[in-house]
Amino acid sequence: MPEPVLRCSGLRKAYRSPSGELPVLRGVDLELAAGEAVAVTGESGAGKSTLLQVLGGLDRADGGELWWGGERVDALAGRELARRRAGLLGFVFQSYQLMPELDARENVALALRVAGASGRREALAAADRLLASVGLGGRARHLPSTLSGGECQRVALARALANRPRLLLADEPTGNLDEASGAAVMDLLLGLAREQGAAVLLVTHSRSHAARCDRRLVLRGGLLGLG
Amino acid sequence: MPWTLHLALRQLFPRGRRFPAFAGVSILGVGLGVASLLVVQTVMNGFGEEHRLRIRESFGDVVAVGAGAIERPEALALALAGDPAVRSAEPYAEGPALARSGDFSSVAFVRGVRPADPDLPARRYVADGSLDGLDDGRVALGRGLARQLRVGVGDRIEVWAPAMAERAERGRAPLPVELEVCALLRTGFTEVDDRAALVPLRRFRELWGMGERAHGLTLRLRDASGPSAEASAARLEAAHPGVRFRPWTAIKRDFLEAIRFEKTMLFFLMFIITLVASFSIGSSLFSAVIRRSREIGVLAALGASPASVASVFAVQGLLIGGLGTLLGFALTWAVLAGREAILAAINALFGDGDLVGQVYQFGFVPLHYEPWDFALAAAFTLLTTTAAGLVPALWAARRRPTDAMRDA
Ligand SMILES: Nc1ncnc2c1ncn2[C@@H]1O[C@H](COP(=O)(O)OP(=O)(O)O)[C@@H](O)[C@H]1O
Ligand SMILES: [Mg+2]
Repeated sequence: MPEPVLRCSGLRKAYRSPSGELPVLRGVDLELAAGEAVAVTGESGAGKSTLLQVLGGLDRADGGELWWGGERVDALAGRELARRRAGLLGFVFQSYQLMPELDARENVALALRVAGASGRREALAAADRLLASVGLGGRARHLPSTLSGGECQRVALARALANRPRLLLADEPTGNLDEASGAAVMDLLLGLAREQGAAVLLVTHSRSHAARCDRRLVLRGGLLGLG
Repeated sequence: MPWTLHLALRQLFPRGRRFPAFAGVSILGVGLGVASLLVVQTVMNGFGEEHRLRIRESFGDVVAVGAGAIERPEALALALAGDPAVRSAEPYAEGPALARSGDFSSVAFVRGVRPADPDLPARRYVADGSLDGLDDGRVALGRGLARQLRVGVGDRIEVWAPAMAERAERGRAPLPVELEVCALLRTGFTEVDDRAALVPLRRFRELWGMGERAHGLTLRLRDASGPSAEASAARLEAAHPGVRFRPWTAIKRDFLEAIRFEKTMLFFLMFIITLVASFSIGSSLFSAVIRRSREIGVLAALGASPASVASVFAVQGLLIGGLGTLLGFALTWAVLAGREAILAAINALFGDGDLVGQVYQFGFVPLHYEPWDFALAAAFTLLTTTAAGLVPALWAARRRPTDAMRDA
């Protein structure tokens, strides 16, 4: 059996505030096989975003183990983690999070440049190809402020896939979109991920989107279980 | 171009906006600070250089004096002129006298010189008339002194030297000598222009009853730089016992030191402006870091290391510092190019004429560009503005990148 792209066990996370401790993850176990698409649902405030942050190494768990590929990463330092993240993971956020001062192709190229994969010119050329693959070839030089929500999310998707990640972490990517553009984004996301052989961990509220994934999990009471 | 620089440039100078407010105002602030610093330094250098030049012109590169008057100055001059480092050696004598013309009188500081001396500095400052006619019946006056006496070239003045009193007949007032003004001198150095009078050394000795003596010798060196003058003076002093040789750097040393000290103090005072500008850059970048906390999270999600995230903001401080310094250089040049007009405006604003000249001893604004000052100003400015960017940048790098995921 091939190495899972992501594995965690007993993952715990609590937020501390003056008013007390708020446990959000209470021992999450998860294994994602290569190329597999998994949907996570759960009520608002259940801790879905927290889970993605901890799995993506953006936040540190209080306890438990985290493995990317075959490597245990929960104890790695910021720079080490950042380097591995650039090559392994792609993120898509609910509100796109594009750099407002960069146009579409520069936003996509930024991911390539940050990962150190290529020089400026090659990165921009690759960005043009990626934008064409999400149907935005004609909008490459538009600033995010001049794009619609669906277009922004497609730019963000192109950015997330730029480094050919082995895992795409998507946090309610259609949460800000109307049904039609949400469906379009979803088609692209799952289609391109499959094309590239990337696994997907999709947080969503939409039953129909969840239904398109290979597996469906629910986060409830700080634990991840079957629906 | 590294991506951090590209992103920093885009954040500082957003595309399609005509005036990048934050960058523009910050660069202007730094530019003004650098310019005020450099204008002051360059003018202070000018004053310093000008004073050094005046000191060398009035006293010589090295001045030779004895414990008393020098008995056989011409012989000593001849001996000194034989030294390879010495270009010329001229005896001189000087002293105050009373000058009068009609109802006006003033104290003149008279100096006896050899009119044929080709190195005579006064030659460079003849504003009217000529020094060629300077003979026993004539005198050259500083322009301010001539003005006090209401005389011009061709007019006559009366002069009393202190020694005249002892030669006057008992019970009778000494008679003045009458001298014709042959030249007016304008050095721009008020202290000199308001007092100086030149007569031939021969005539001075006669009026002051000095016989063949002189007060000292003025030496011009082939290499008049400070270290060379000091070395020559020491060497000559060893070779001529009984005569003291003072290099120009030792004359009015306290005064030159005071100028240097004042210059250093002004550097730091003026640098406060740049420092204040740097603080405002720092606070603007701090708020930018907060405003951009989501973008910082995204950079982290893309795999940017904390150090690269920090450098995006630190580079902005550096860019502002660099561009501000260049702007400061340009402003410095512009202000200094228009300095006479600015001076005239200040004079017109405060009183009627030559206020600055009276206060600062100069009728003009001397300049001396010192590359070292520019380098130092640039280095200090880049240092503080980069630090101003670096502090919020490090803070940005330490923040958790999770903000990007938290959707408002
Ligand atoms: N940085 C934080 N500090 C304190 N509490 C937080 C923080 N982030 C999230 N929380 C809390 O943790 C819980 C889970 O949040 P989140 O992971 O965003 O849930 P979801 O994405 O499922 O809606 C919520 O109650 C939220 O208020
Ligand atoms: Mg959420």
